[in-house]
Amino acid sequence: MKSAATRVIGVGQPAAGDDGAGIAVVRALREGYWLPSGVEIHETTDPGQLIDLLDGIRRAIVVDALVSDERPGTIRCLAPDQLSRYPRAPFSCHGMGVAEAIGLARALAADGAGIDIRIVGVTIKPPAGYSCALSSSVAAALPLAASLILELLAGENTGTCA
Amino acid sequence: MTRTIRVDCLTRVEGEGALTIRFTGDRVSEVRLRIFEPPRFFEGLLRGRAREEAPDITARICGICPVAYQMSACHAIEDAAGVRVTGALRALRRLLYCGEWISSHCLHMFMLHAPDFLGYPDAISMAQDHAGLVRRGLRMKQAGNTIMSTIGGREIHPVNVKPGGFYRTPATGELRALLPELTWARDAALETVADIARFEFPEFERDYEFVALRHPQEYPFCEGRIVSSKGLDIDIHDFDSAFQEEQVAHSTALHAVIRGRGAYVCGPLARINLNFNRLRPVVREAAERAGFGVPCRNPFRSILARSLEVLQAIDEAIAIIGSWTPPVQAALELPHTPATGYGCTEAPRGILMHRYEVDGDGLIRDARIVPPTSQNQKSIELDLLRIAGRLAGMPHEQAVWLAEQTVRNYDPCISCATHFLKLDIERG
Repeated sequence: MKSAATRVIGVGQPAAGDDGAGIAVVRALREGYWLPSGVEIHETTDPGQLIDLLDGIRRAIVVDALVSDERPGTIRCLAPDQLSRYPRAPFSCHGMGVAEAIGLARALAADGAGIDIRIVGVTIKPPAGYSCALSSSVAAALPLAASLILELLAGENTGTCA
Repeated sequence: MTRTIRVDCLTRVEGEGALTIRFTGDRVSEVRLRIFEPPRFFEGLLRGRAREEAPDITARICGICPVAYQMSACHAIEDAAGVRVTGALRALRRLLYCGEWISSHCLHMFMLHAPDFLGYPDAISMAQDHAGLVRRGLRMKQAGNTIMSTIGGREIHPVNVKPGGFYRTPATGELRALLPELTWARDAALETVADIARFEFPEFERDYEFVALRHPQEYPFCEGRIVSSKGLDIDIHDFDSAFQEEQVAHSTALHAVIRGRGAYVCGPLARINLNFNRLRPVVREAAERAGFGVPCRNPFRSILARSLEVLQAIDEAIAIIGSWTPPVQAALELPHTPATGYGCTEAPRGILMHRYEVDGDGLIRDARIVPPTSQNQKSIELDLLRIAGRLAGMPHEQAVWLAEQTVRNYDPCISCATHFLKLDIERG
């Protein structure tokens, strides 16, 4: 039985500077915004946890940092199939990337009613070391990411903005 | 004429390495499992650290088998201090180890190895057709993880283990709460053994020397003598006299061999071959129904051995919890004695040896760690050398598939041994 809940899931490692952007976005959402009923906020440092978090629900928004050549702080909204544009980690038991975890969750959901997943990505430069702080350009982009998630939750943005 | 088949990455293994198979005509001229994972220097950074830190520092060598590192480290430190952990604390260690075996084996069987047998490039594609199997595997793995988080404080790199015992022991109710899911998992494990027994296993056998711990009564986890299928039977303190590690130019991981004899194999297949009569009755019966006889010399059937060990670990976990009586104290005190201690335990991938020289202040003066993957490296190369003749006649994609499957039989953890494997098949 699918839960009616929509989950907004922040993924990242807050100790690796801008890699924690996804976590920072969901924390900002939880603390500073009114959320529609039935919306659960989750955060995880382990993409593998997405398999459980994406199980048994109809809709999810995954928020993560994206490494690309674009300007840091650029916000992207992607469908799962568009993740292939970005570098992927190899599938191994030492770790599963966000794309692999989402792929597995979708495959497992395919025998049921399926699951609608959107990925909100905050563009970052590759993390250079340990830091619990976000760079100014990424920190400045948090409100924009939060607004986009609120639009998606309200059904005001049903497409992909990539 | 030179023919080179090149594959950029062998996935579903741990760590960074590469595999090259070179053919001259139809003859295999070279097989090299090249490991270029940078050396990690754990043995060096342990020097000067307090003995109590060894379990948590070495646990960081691996995110899949941290408990194995903690157990070998604890046993070695306790050996140096002349202390033996018994009773409920010993049982709790076995239970924690059960959790790791269940978790590590399920991840390898369902997510990394089963796609080879069922004809899928990865678990994601396999899940589209076999969602039930993957869901079952993930739930069984979670049952193992929950044991680890209940006893160890968290699933990965537990924080509750110390030489002499634990920082905190669980209340009876905390352990009993695990029983309903473990009871489900035991049925799921029986179903899994039957499912895996129906896989098609490539015909392949070699005259291996299997090496594992053997305990007078139990299927081995933390204690026993090191025995082999070719007559080795030694106390763990004699490890250095029987085994040696060799440097090879193409690998940053050392190759371990039995002195005067060469390559050997440790891990699930070795354990089950050498300890079949120590398995719990439900496991022996399942093995019989699955047509799994010992000695089994076909490494492709290691996935079946792994599934039987999952059943063993789940059944033992249920038994330990059923008879659990909390210990009087969470840990034994360790006297400060300058000494060298050995610890050898059965990590999911095979025997894991730790040796520490500890001074009178409880500081580590010297450390040595021999992980299972470095012990199996030479055998992986020899398997590939043996199978290479078949690869030579195969189309590229099929050859790569079989070569990768051959490596994955060992569930190699290159990160432990010293991420990513590149496979080159060169034909000339």
